[in-house]
Amino acid sequence: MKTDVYRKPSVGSGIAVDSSKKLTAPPDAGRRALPVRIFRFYMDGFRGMGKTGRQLWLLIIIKLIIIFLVFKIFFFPDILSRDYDSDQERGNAVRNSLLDARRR
Amino acid sequence: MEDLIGVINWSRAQFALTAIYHWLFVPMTLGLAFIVAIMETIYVRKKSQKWLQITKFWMKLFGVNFALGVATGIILEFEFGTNWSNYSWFVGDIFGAPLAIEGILAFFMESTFIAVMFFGWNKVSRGFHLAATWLTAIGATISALWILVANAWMQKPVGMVFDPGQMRCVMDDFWALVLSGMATNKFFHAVLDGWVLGAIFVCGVSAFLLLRKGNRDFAIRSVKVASVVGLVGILFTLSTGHGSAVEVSKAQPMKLAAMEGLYRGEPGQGIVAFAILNPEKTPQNNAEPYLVEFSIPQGLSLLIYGETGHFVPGINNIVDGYGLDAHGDTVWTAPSYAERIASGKVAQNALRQFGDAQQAGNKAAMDSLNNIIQANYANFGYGFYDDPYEMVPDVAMTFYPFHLMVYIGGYLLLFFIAVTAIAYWRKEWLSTKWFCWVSMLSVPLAWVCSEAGWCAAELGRQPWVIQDVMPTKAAISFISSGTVVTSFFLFAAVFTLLLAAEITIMVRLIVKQAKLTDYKPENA
Repeated sequence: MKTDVYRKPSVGSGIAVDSSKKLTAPPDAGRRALPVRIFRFYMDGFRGMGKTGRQLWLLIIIKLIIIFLVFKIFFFPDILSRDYDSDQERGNAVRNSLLDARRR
Repeated sequence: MEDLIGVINWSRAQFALTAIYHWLFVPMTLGLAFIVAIMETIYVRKKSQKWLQITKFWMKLFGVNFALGVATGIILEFEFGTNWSNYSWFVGDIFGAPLAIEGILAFFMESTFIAVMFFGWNKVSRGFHLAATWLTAIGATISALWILVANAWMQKPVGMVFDPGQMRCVMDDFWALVLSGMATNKFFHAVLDGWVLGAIFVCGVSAFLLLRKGNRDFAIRSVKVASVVGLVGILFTLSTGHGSAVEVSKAQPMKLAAMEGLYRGEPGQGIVAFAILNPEKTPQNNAEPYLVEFSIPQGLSLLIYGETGHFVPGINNIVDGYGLDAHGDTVWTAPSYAERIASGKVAQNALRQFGDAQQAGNKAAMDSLNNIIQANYANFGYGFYDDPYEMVPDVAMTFYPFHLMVYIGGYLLLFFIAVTAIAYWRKEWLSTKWFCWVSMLSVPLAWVCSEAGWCAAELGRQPWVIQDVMPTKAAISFISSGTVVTSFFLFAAVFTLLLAAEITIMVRLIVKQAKLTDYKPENA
């Protein structure tokens, strides 16, 4: 991988990377295994994040916690999976529910 | 029964709220991703630091929108499982395949390459970075494809058969599902609408930068790219909008009639250019449909059927199953709603008996009943009703959003023609105060247009969640309305906070950019 393509400092660099921090791959990067390089890529990316990037990640994490740990668990059970054990039972339940006289 | 109506209304309101908020973020992601990719392509071709800075600024705003919008759509899937469990089970295979492809392919593709977009500036080659930016844009578009295919199937259920043994639809023709006219028009209409929205956002923000005077060259270059994307986008949005209307006339003629406020059609039907609906008008009375009306003669017949004299059925024609010309001759026929109700009830009775036969293991009876169900399946949903007029959508709630979308769409076409011409041939006009204000004030209109289009499409197809097969009242789960009300207000609070956060962060970034003076000329 090239490591020297964007040397010039810029106004308004990307959200994730603080332009004041030089992020160049270590000299032995090319010799490392691919998973390690990918891990390092993300690690360096997160470490070098600017203020806006950090705020956005905080918002994303809070949002995901609310969605998956509050909404999903307390408000949105999958009713058919919760109440019935087999697909046959679920199918029968849907048939009975669909043809229920209260829907008319 | 009262609680069932409460559950239906609150579940609909909750779904509408979630979908509307989700759709505030999605089109911007679709549009801005392509604009950023084009800007980066120019940078890579010209190796210009100016274009690099421009790309990074808009990529930053794209990132804010993506970060706050991501996963807001997952709540819609939660709602399917809880509030709409009958629907969710009934359509399982139809939704399962497209959404699984979306999850596996598009979402992971998008997420992976977004990391390269933001973390990879100093780490990968220019070409690889550019490829990642383009693949992010393409991944976002593919995500939209699958969800729009699923939505189009609800409007025109093709490529599936109903299996009464499993009580769900089973896909028998994947390509019919993906390539139906409804799906292709809907996909291009929605995605290109995203281009328009992204483009007008860039124009509006650039206008703000121009007003602050420090970023003139930066803003003009941005507008040059955005204006072309917006013009291409709006032209194809109008074209696919027309295609969608033609599809609606075939699969959902009642929706088309509601969009036009048309109760009794005629050969050579005019198209409403402007009208105020008469609130007293119902399909059962003879009141005039409009208080004020200005129509273009024969316009609707020509646009939909390509013939000035073609008959277009109105609401009453569709309910009654026939249409007359001025001489009282029958010029259009279709099964009446009364006939379809009778057919739907036959299908439902057969389905009830099918369940009993299945319990008893009576295969011969199951086969015979399945034949009856399949023969009447196209009218299955009508069996839930006794009064045909219950199946007429709210005309005002369809007519006004549709016309609002058309008016704003027309304005946006003029706007992008003007802004493209000015950006390329009279660029000094871009900095004039009036033009900057017009550009900035046009930004929210693109969102209003987009949301109005969705409202027309979704309210106009009521009472159906699956056209002709499953009405809203059959799709709902038997749950307490109290839970739905609580989660409705929680969603409203969380989404409003997210939106406020997005606007705050974006405004901060834009104002920060506005305080900078233009970049120093290097090798541009």
